[in-house]
Amino acid sequence: MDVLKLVKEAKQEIAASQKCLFDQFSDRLMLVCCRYLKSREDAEEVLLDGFYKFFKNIGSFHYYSEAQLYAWLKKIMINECLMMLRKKNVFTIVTEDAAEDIMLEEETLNSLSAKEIFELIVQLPVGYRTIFNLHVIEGMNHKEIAALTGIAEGTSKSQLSKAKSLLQKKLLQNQAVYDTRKIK
Amino acid sequence: MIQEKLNNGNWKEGLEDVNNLPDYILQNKHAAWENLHNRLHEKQRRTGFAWYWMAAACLIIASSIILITTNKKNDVALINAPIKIQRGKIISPQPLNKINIDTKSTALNTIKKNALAGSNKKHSINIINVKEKTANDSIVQINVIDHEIQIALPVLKDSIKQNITAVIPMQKKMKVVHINELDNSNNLNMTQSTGHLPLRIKFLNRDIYTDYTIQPATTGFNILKLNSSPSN
Repeated sequence: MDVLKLVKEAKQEIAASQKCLFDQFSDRLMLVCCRYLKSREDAEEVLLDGFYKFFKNIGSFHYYSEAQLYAWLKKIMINECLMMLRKKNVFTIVTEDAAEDIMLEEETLNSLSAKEIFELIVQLPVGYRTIFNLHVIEGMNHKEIAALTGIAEGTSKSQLSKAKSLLQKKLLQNQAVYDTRKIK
Repeated sequence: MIQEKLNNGNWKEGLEDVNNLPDYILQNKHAAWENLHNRLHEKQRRTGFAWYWMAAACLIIASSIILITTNKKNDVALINAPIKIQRGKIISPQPLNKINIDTKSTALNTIKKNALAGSNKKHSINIINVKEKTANDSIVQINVIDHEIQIALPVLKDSIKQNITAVIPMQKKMKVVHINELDNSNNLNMTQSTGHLPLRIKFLNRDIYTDYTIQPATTGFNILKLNSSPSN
């Protein structure tokens, strides 16, 4: 179905169109929420809150493309996730000096399946995971992360390097498994 | 088979691919939608209720404004202007009986309040009571304990547009006078009624008179009267 038409009808609060949009984007956005939040219930709650805000503010949205709509929805969801984490005082981290930047072996990551990478990320502590998600996956710089999460830039850098280090350790632990799989 | 699972440099995109991660998608999408749908409509219902409440509040405000404006005819607009009060007397160029009673009572209460809280008072004052005696004789009694005070008392500004003051007669203290100081006519009446003048007796530094108004009892003794007893 045409997304533009759905958006127009959703602006008129037509429930059927709203449901179509929800069905179309909810799964992908649920993955985003699960990447940020450990609990599945929290992720579902945030997803519904995000969609609620989306439908309430859809009047101010100007549709250009489906990708743009998805980006907008994703931004709403990420903000909702960060709000939820802030409520849980995840970001009450003592300011630390920026650690040395650890280069994560991208090749290793490329050799892994999406599910494997996803599970590696989900295993990280919440603070590390949030910074990793924002910096590596969403492509935000540390200034933006600091503004979003309310932590210092140095803390953000430090958290990122620790996240990468931990991820690398996990990758090395699983290296043998991956290698054997590659040989096969 | 295994190669299919591997990413070709697009691992970031793979993280949002639903086909790769079926375990993390929304399990009960229908229930989630119902929940969201209810929330969206519940809010609309709440806003509907809010409109009803707002309409009711507007109605109350409008009716109260109408009531206030209709009652304003009897209200008194006050202007602070100095009025001199001398020994409990306020002189009015406007007779109070020309003002309706509600206005007078409001005005008097306001005078009382302002006098008690007056900032311009030169001497300490104590207004005990301000009351209207009658609606017609325009007598207002104010007990003021001071010789002379100057207060910025409010002046009534009404449709009459004239300053209002009240004539306050001083309370007369009862004074005991000797019978000889009374009018001759009284003396004459007394002598006519009794046939003789009352006798003055001095006893323990007090003047006692025989009462001429009461006839002698069978005992033959005249009833005596103290100087503190009420006469006539």
